Amino acid sequence: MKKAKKKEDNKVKYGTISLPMPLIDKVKQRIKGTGMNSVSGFVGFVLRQVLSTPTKDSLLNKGQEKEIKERLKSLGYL
Amino acid sequence: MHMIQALSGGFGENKNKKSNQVKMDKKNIIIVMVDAFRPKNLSLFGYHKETDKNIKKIAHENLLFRNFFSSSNATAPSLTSLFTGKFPEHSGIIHQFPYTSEKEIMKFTDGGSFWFPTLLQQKGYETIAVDWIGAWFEKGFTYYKEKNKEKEKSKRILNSPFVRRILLNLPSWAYALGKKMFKSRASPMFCTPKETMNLAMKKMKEAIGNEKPFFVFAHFWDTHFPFPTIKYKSKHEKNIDKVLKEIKDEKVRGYFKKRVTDIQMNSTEDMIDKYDKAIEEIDGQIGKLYNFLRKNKIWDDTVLIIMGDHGTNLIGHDIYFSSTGLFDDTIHVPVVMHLPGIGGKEIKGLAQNVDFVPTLFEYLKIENRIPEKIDGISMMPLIKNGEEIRDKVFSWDGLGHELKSVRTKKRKLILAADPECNLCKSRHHREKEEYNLEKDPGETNNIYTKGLGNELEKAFDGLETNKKQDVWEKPVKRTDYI
Repeated sequence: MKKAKKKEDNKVKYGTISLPMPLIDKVKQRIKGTGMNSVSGFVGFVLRQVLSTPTKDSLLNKGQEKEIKERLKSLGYL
Repeated sequence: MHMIQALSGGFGENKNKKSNQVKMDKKNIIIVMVDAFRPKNLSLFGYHKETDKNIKKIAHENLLFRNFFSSSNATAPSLTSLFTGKFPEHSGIIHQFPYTSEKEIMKFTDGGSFWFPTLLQQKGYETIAVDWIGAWFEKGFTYYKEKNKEKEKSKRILNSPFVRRILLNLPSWAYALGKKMFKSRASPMFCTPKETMNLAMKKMKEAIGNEKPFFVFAHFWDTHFPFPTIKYKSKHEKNIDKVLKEIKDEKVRGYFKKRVTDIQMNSTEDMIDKYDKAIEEIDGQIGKLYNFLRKNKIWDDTVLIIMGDHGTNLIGHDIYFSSTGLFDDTIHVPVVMHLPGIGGKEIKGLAQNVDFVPTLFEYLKIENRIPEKIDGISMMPLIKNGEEIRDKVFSWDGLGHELKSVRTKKRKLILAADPECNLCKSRHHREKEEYNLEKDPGETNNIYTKGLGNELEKAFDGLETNKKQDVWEKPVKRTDYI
């Protein structure tokens, strides 16, 4: 019982988003025969790609740059 | 041997896609990346102290690579090579932060798009990194963090100079009480080995709960000088001033002096002991991970790789506690790998970090072919049958201006077009150095003779030729992942 609850706690929660039907149809066409099971899976995948692809600005954003510099300094690189 | 070989042994061009389609074996993958990790300080490689009890146990039951070399002596280029399967010159990223040039970053972002974590994410893996360097290394990871930032913030405030000044002005009893209450860490900036492993295991549990295969990359920085998370009390006699006097090069002396100021260690012996302690603490966490995988009954469904991103100099070659230069101390790394279904053995053939991608492609049957030309060669023939896959390994200096090396089991050539070190501004190598590693494994006697020609120099010509032919061709955009 306890184990099952723990397993439940570890599960990622999901939410709902709305998309225009024509777009959903296009996605359905696109994923046919690709092994991608659902429109949600495809949208999740595309969003992950967009969010994780570095742009020139995002490679080292200001906040991150400051923090990284601090650590690099303590490690002897600066 | 042809250096640019994406795959070997049964994974050739796939003409009939449908009939030859392989089903990926979605085993979990864990990379325990130990920063600045050198074999010399492990009993597995003959060290007098047993710093590696758990690593040794895993190595004896699995695969131990004796001659594994990183393509770089620095983290950023080394990890980029690991995830692209390309040498630094081909991936674009040659130099370590903050010396990575704009041009290098542009070459990387505009070059090939293959990135191993992204591929695993596309294949349905939960991709998790416990690290802090960020930048392009976050690409492909669903989760990229190192610890609870909120918790960290409060610790940082306590360690800020302003708050510390206030604390120091308190009566001694109040200061002692406050210190006890907040139990200050060795370093507020870095995770301890325990924190890194606990977070990695927490994320693994979540992936197990979600019934998803996971790829976990856990980076332990504790072995990087000044070993910021390791609590250590000096036990040797003070010798820093004596060591400083003995350093001939003024720039090296200045850099070392700057680094040892304020680290509260008496001697170089203490620094080496602290490095060993860092290894021991990480080793303890590796033992915990091993038990976790066994307890959760996923050991047989998990590929585990324990490795160094690069090595480090401790006190050799007049280089002190940094990974600069291309001597073996900085590029030779320990690698232990658990591939379920493959028994324990020692691997003596040469291999490199760029070889992991094709190896995992073949072992896990990820795809029929790698989508881009890479430098890595699958290690499976070496692992299964002891067939040598490389007669040479290549490395680039991520901390010097322009240096590279090529090494066989017997000889090594270092070419320094511009040998200035970005860290201390000194020069750790001459323009050309050659070492007979059989007679001189410590690389102390440069035997390079001008004009005689050198077989090893031609090895770089080979890389250049390949570069001109097809390595640099724009990769064909693939849409069949989605």
